[in-house]
Amino acid sequence: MRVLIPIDGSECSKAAVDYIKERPWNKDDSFLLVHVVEPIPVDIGIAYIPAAYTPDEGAAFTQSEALLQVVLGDLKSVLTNQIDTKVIAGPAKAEIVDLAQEWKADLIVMGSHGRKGFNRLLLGSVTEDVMKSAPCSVTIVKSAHCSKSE
Amino acid sequence: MLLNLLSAPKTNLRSLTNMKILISLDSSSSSQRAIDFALSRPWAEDDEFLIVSVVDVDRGDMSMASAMTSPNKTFNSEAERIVSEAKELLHNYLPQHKLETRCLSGPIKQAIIECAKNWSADLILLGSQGRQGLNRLVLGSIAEEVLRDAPCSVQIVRRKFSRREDQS
Repeated sequence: MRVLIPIDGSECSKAAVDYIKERPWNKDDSFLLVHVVEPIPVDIGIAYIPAAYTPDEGAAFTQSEALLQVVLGDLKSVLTNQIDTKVIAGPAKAEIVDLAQEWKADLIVMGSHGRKGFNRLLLGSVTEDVMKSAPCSVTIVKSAHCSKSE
Repeated sequence: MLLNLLSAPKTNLRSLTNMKILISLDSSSSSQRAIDFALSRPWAEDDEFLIVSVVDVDRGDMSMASAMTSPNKTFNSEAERIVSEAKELLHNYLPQHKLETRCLSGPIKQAIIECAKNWSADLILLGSQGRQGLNRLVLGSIAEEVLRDAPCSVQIVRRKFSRREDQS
Protein backbone atom coordinates (compact mmCIF):
# COMPACT_ATOMS: atom_id res chain seq x y z
CA MET A 1 0.00 0.00 0.00
CA ARG A 2 1.18 3.53 -0.82
CA VAL A 3 0.61 5.99 1.98
CA LEU A 4 0.78 9.75 1.49
CA ILE A 5 1.38 11.85 4.60
CA PRO A 6 0.88 15.60 4.24
CA ILE A 7 2.83 17.41 6.97
CA ASP A 8 2.42 21.05 7.90
CA GLY A 9 4.37 21.17 11.15
CA SER A 10 1.23 21.47 13.32
CA GLU A 11 0.30 19.49 16.43
CA CYS A 12 -2.24 17.63 14.37
CA SER A 13 0.22 16.57 11.73
CA LYS A 14 2.40 15.35 14.62
CA ALA A 15 -0.57 13.20 15.61
CA ALA A 16 -0.64 11.76 12.09
CA VAL A 17 3.09 10.97 12.29
CA ASP A 18 2.56 9.26 15.66
CA TYR A 19 -0.22 7.22 14.11
CA ILE A 20 2.13 6.07 11.33
CA LYS A 21 4.83 5.23 13.87
CA GLU A 22 2.64 3.25 16.23
CA ARG A 23 0.36 1.33 13.91
CA PRO A 24 1.33 -1.91 12.19
CA TRP A 25 2.25 -1.80 8.48
CA ASN A 26 3.15 -4.36 5.89
CA LYS A 27 6.80 -4.63 4.89
CA ASP A 28 6.06 -3.54 1.34
CA ASP A 29 3.99 -0.50 2.29
CA SER A 30 5.69 2.68 1.19
CA PHE A 31 5.31 6.22 2.49
CA LEU A 32 5.63 9.67 0.97
CA LEU A 33 5.95 12.64 3.31
CA VAL A 34 4.89 15.83 1.64
CA HIS A 35 4.95 19.43 2.73
CA VAL A 36 3.02 21.94 0.67
CA VAL A 37 4.40 25.46 0.60
CA GLU A 38 1.46 27.77 0.14
CA PRO A 39 1.87 31.31 -1.13
CA ILE A 40 1.09 33.66 1.76
CA PRO A 41 -2.40 35.06 1.20
CA VAL A 42 -2.33 38.81 0.67
CA ASP A 43 -5.43 39.27 2.79
CA ILE A 44 -3.52 38.77 6.01
CA GLY A 45 -1.39 41.77 5.10
CA ILE A 46 1.85 40.19 4.01
CA ALA A 47 2.75 40.55 0.38
CA TYR A 48 3.54 37.46 -1.62
CA ILE A 49 7.29 37.14 -1.88
CA PRO A 50 8.14 35.05 -4.93
CA ALA A 51 11.83 34.72 -4.06
CA ALA A 52 11.04 32.82 -0.88
CA TYR A 53 9.25 30.18 -2.91
CA THR A 54 11.91 29.43 -5.48
CA PRO A 55 12.50 25.69 -5.43
CA ASP A 56 15.87 24.59 -4.08
CA GLU A 57 16.93 28.00 -2.82
CA GLY A 58 13.86 29.78 -1.45
CA ALA A 59 13.68 30.11 2.33
CA ALA A 60 10.29 28.40 2.46
CA PHE A 61 11.63 25.38 0.63
CA THR A 62 14.73 25.13 2.79
CA GLN A 63 12.61 25.17 5.92
CA SER A 64 10.18 22.62 4.49
CA GLU A 65 13.04 20.35 3.57
CA ALA A 66 14.38 20.63 7.13
CA LEU A 67 10.96 19.81 8.58
CA LEU A 68 10.59 16.78 6.33
CA GLN A 69 14.07 15.52 7.21
CA VAL A 70 13.25 15.66 10.93
CA VAL A 71 10.00 13.76 10.43
CA LEU A 72 11.75 11.33 8.10
CA GLY A 73 14.37 10.60 10.76
CA ASP A 74 11.62 10.13 13.31
CA LEU A 75 9.77 7.61 11.13
CA LYS A 76 12.95 5.81 10.14
CA SER A 77 13.72 5.22 13.80
CA VAL A 78 10.81 2.78 13.93
CA LEU A 79 10.02 1.76 10.35
CA THR A 80 12.19 -0.03 7.84
CA ASN A 81 9.81 0.71 4.98
CA GLN A 82 10.53 2.81 1.93
CA ILE A 83 9.93 6.45 2.91
CA ASP A 84 10.37 9.39 0.54
CA THR A 85 9.90 13.12 0.98
CA LYS A 86 8.66 15.84 -1.32
CA VAL A 87 8.15 19.59 -1.12
CA ILE A 88 5.63 21.15 -3.46
CA ALA A 89 4.26 24.66 -3.89
CA GLY A 90 0.68 25.66 -4.48
CA PRO A 91 -2.71 25.53 -2.82
CA ALA A 92 -2.52 22.71 -0.26
CA LYS A 93 -5.78 20.97 -1.04
CA ALA A 94 -5.30 20.79 -4.82
CA GLU A 95 -1.63 19.82 -4.52
CA ILE A 96 -2.33 17.02 -2.07
CA VAL A 97 -5.17 15.61 -4.16
CA ASP A 98 -3.12 15.86 -7.39
CA LEU A 99 -0.13 14.22 -5.78
CA ALA A 100 -2.28 11.40 -4.43
CA GLN A 101 -3.47 10.80 -7.98
CA GLU A 102 -0.02 11.03 -9.59
CA TRP A 103 1.76 8.94 -7.00
CA LYS A 104 -1.14 6.45 -6.99
CA ALA A 105 -1.62 6.70 -3.27
CA ASP A 106 -3.88 4.10 -1.65
CA LEU A 107 -4.22 6.07 1.54
CA ILE A 108 -3.69 9.59 2.81
CA VAL A 109 -3.05 9.95 6.55
CA MET A 110 -3.43 13.45 7.91
CA GLY A 111 -4.26 15.40 11.04
CA SER A 112 -7.76 16.72 11.58
CA HIS A 113 -6.74 20.36 11.65
CA GLY A 114 -3.84 22.34 10.33
CA ARG A 115 -1.47 24.88 11.76
CA LYS A 116 -2.43 26.52 15.00
CA GLY A 117 -2.89 30.22 15.52
CA PHE A 118 -5.06 30.69 12.49
CA ASN A 119 -8.75 30.27 12.06
CA ARG A 120 -9.43 26.70 13.02
CA LEU A 121 -12.27 26.19 10.58
CA LEU A 122 -10.32 27.61 7.67
CA LEU A 123 -7.43 25.25 8.15
CA GLY A 124 -9.55 22.27 9.04
CA SER A 125 -11.03 22.86 5.64
CA VAL A 126 -7.89 21.56 3.93
CA THR A 127 -8.44 18.24 5.65
CA GLU A 128 -12.12 18.31 4.80
CA ASP A 129 -11.50 19.19 1.17
CA VAL A 130 -8.85 16.52 0.78
CA MET A 131 -11.21 14.00 2.32
CA LYS A 132 -13.93 14.95 -0.17
CA SER A 133 -11.76 15.06 -3.29
CA ALA A 134 -9.13 12.42 -2.65
CA PRO A 135 -8.98 9.59 -5.17
CA CYS A 136 -8.16 7.14 -2.38
CA SER A 137 -8.89 6.24 1.23
CA VAL A 138 -8.20 8.85 3.87
CA THR A 139 -7.42 8.49 7.56
CA ILE A 140 -8.04 11.61 9.59
CA VAL A 141 -6.18 11.37 12.86
CA LYS A 142 -7.69 13.17 15.80
CA SER A 143 -5.75 13.37 19.01
CA ALA A 144 -6.80 14.82 22.34
CA HIS A 145 -4.39 17.68 21.95
CA CYS A 146 -5.32 18.84 18.50
CA SER A 147 -9.06 18.80 18.95
CA LYS A 148 -8.95 20.50 22.35
CA SER A 149 -9.01 24.02 20.99
CA GLU A 150 -12.80 24.07 20.51
CA MET B 1 9.27 27.20 14.37
CA LEU B 2 8.49 24.30 12.11
CA LEU B 3 10.98 22.22 14.02
CA ASN B 4 8.88 22.47 17.17
CA LEU B 5 7.00 19.53 15.74
CA LEU B 6 9.01 16.91 17.54
CA SER B 7 9.29 18.61 20.88
CA ALA B 8 5.50 18.67 21.24
CA PRO B 9 4.32 16.60 24.19
CA LYS B 10 2.71 13.30 23.46
CA THR B 11 -0.89 13.86 24.28
CA ASN B 12 -2.88 10.98 22.90
CA LEU B 13 -5.42 9.80 25.41
CA ARG B 14 -4.98 6.16 24.60
CA SER B 15 -2.25 4.12 23.14
CA LEU B 16 -2.20 3.68 19.39
CA THR B 17 -0.94 0.15 19.86
CA ASN B 18 -4.24 -1.18 21.15
CA MET B 19 -7.00 0.60 19.37
CA LYS B 20 -10.74 0.16 19.53
CA ILE B 21 -11.97 0.18 15.97
CA LEU B 22 -15.59 0.76 15.11
CA ILE B 23 -16.54 -0.47 11.64
CA SER B 24 -19.73 1.05 10.36
CA LEU B 25 -21.52 -0.97 7.71
CA ASP B 26 -24.67 -0.89 5.64
CA SER B 27 -25.69 -2.83 2.55
CA SER B 28 -23.94 -0.53 0.06
CA SER B 29 -20.85 -1.44 -1.93
CA SER B 30 -18.85 1.39 -0.38
CA SER B 31 -19.52 -0.07 3.00
CA GLN B 32 -18.31 -3.43 1.74
CA ARG B 33 -15.03 -1.64 1.03
CA ALA B 34 -14.65 -0.82 4.71
CA ILE B 35 -14.73 -4.48 5.63
CA ASP B 36 -12.49 -5.38 2.66
CA PHE B 37 -9.99 -2.85 3.93
CA ALA B 38 -10.04 -4.35 7.41
CA LEU B 39 -9.52 -7.78 5.84
CA SER B 40 -6.49 -6.69 3.84
CA ARG B 41 -4.46 -4.85 6.47
CA PRO B 42 -2.28 -5.78 9.43
CA TRP B 43 -3.73 -4.96 12.86
CA ALA B 44 -2.12 -4.72 16.26
CA GLU B 45 -2.42 -7.74 18.50
CA ASP B 46 -4.54 -5.93 21.07
CA ASP B 47 -6.87 -4.09 18.69
CA GLU B 48 -10.57 -4.63 19.31
CA PHE B 49 -13.35 -4.32 16.79
CA LEU B 50 -16.99 -3.37 17.01
CA ILE B 51 -18.99 -3.90 13.84
CA VAL B 52 -22.18 -1.87 13.69
CA SER B 53 -25.02 -1.37 11.30
CA VAL B 54 -27.55 1.38 11.76
CA VAL B 55 -31.25 0.83 11.27
CA ASP B 56 -32.68 4.12 10.16
CA VAL B 57 -36.41 3.59 9.95
CA ASP B 58 -36.84 6.76 7.90
CA ARG B 59 -35.17 5.00 5.07
CA GLY B 60 -37.42 5.07 2.02
CA ASP B 61 -35.53 2.97 -0.50
CA MET B 62 -37.01 -0.36 0.48
CA SER B 63 -40.60 -0.41 -0.57
CA MET B 64 -41.35 -4.01 0.21
CA ALA B 65 -44.65 -4.83 1.79
CA SER B 66 -42.93 -6.32 4.82
CA ALA B 67 -40.94 -3.13 5.25
CA MET B 68 -44.16 -1.15 5.33
CA THR B 69 -45.98 -3.38 7.75
CA SER B 70 -43.20 -4.27 10.13
CA PRO B 71 -40.28 -1.98 9.39
CA ASN B 72 -38.32 -2.65 12.54
CA LYS B 73 -38.31 -6.36 12.01
CA THR B 74 -37.31 -6.13 8.36
CA PHE B 75 -34.56 -3.59 8.84
CA ASN B 76 -33.27 -5.16 12.00
CA SER B 77 -32.87 -8.53 10.39
CA GLU B 78 -31.05 -6.92 7.47
CA ALA B 79 -28.72 -5.09 9.85
CA GLU B 80 -28.14 -8.26 11.83
CA ARG B 81 -27.29 -10.16 8.69
CA ILE B 82 -24.80 -7.47 7.62
CA VAL B 83 -22.96 -7.39 10.95
CA SER B 84 -22.91 -11.13 11.45
CA GLU B 85 -21.55 -11.78 7.94
CA ALA B 86 -18.87 -9.16 8.51
CA LYS B 87 -18.01 -10.59 11.89
CA GLU B 88 -17.53 -14.03 10.41
CA LEU B 89 -15.18 -12.70 7.71
CA LEU B 90 -13.20 -10.71 10.24
CA HIS B 91 -13.06 -13.61 12.65
CA ASN B 92 -11.57 -15.82 9.94
CA TYR B 93 -8.96 -13.17 9.23
CA LEU B 94 -8.24 -12.29 12.88
CA PRO B 95 -9.21 -15.35 14.94
CA GLN B 96 -7.52 -14.08 18.13
CA HIS B 97 -9.06 -10.61 18.20
CA LYS B 98 -11.96 -9.43 20.26
CA LEU B 99 -14.90 -8.77 17.94
CA GLU B 100 -18.32 -7.48 18.83
CA THR B 101 -21.36 -6.57 16.79
CA ARG B 102 -24.19 -4.19 17.45
CA CYS B 103 -27.27 -3.05 15.57
CA LEU B 104 -28.05 0.58 16.20
CA SER B 105 -31.15 2.54 15.47
CA GLY B 106 -31.84 6.14 14.71
CA PRO B 107 -30.40 8.74 12.38
CA ILE B 108 -27.18 7.21 11.02
CA LYS B 109 -24.70 9.91 11.93
CA GLN B 110 -25.95 10.38 15.48
CA ALA B 111 -26.09 6.65 16.07
CA ILE B 112 -22.48 6.17 14.94
CA ILE B 113 -21.15 9.14 16.93
CA GLU B 114 -23.05 8.11 20.04
CA CYS B 115 -21.78 4.56 19.78
CA ALA B 116 -18.19 5.73 19.20
CA LYS B 117 -18.42 7.82 22.37
CA ASN B 118 -20.00 5.13 24.53
CA TRP B 119 -17.62 2.43 23.38
CA SER B 120 -14.61 4.85 23.52
CA ALA B 121 -13.67 4.09 19.94
CA ASP B 122 -10.22 5.21 18.77
CA LEU B 123 -11.00 4.87 15.09
CA ILE B 124 -14.16 4.76 13.00
CA LEU B 125 -13.81 2.91 9.72
CA LEU B 126 -16.45 3.54 7.12
CA GLY B 127 -17.08 3.46 3.37
CA SER B 128 -17.17 6.78 1.60
CA GLN B 129 -20.73 7.12 0.50
CA GLY B 130 -23.13 5.14 2.57
CA ARG B 131 -26.53 4.31 1.28
CA GLN B 132 -27.69 7.87 0.70
CA GLY B 133 -25.07 8.40 -1.95
CA LEU B 134 -27.37 8.64 -4.93
CA ASN B 135 -25.95 11.76 -6.46
CA ARG B 136 -22.74 13.72 -6.20
CA LEU B 137 -24.21 16.30 -3.88
CA VAL B 138 -25.24 13.96 -1.13
CA LEU B 139 -22.48 11.55 -1.93
CA GLY B 140 -20.49 10.84 1.14
CA SER B 141 -22.58 13.05 3.35
CA ILE B 142 -22.66 10.55 6.18
CA ALA B 143 -18.91 10.11 6.10
CA GLU B 144 -18.39 13.86 6.15
CA GLU B 145 -20.79 14.39 9.01
CA VAL B 146 -19.27 11.56 11.00
CA LEU B 147 -15.81 12.99 10.41
CA ARG B 148 -16.84 16.42 11.60
CA ASP B 149 -18.37 15.25 14.89
CA ALA B 150 -16.34 12.15 15.63
CA PRO B 151 -14.64 12.02 19.03
CA CYS B 152 -11.83 9.97 17.49
CA SER B 153 -9.90 9.32 14.29
CA VAL B 154 -11.87 8.43 11.19
CA GLN B 155 -10.88 6.41 8.18
CA ILE B 156 -12.85 6.83 5.01
CA VAL B 157 -12.33 3.82 2.78
CA ARG B 158 -12.75 4.92 -0.74
CA ARG B 159 -11.91 2.57 -3.50
CA LYS B 160 -11.85 -1.15 -3.83
CA PHE B 161 -8.94 -2.37 -1.85
CA SER B 162 -7.26 -5.60 -2.84
CA ARG B 163 -4.33 -7.66 -1.74
CA ARG B 164 -3.13 -7.42 -5.31
CA GLU B 165 -2.36 -3.75 -4.78
CA ASP B 166 -0.21 -4.62 -1.82
CA GLN B 167 2.08 -6.67 -3.98
CA SER B 168 2.63 -4.06 -6.66
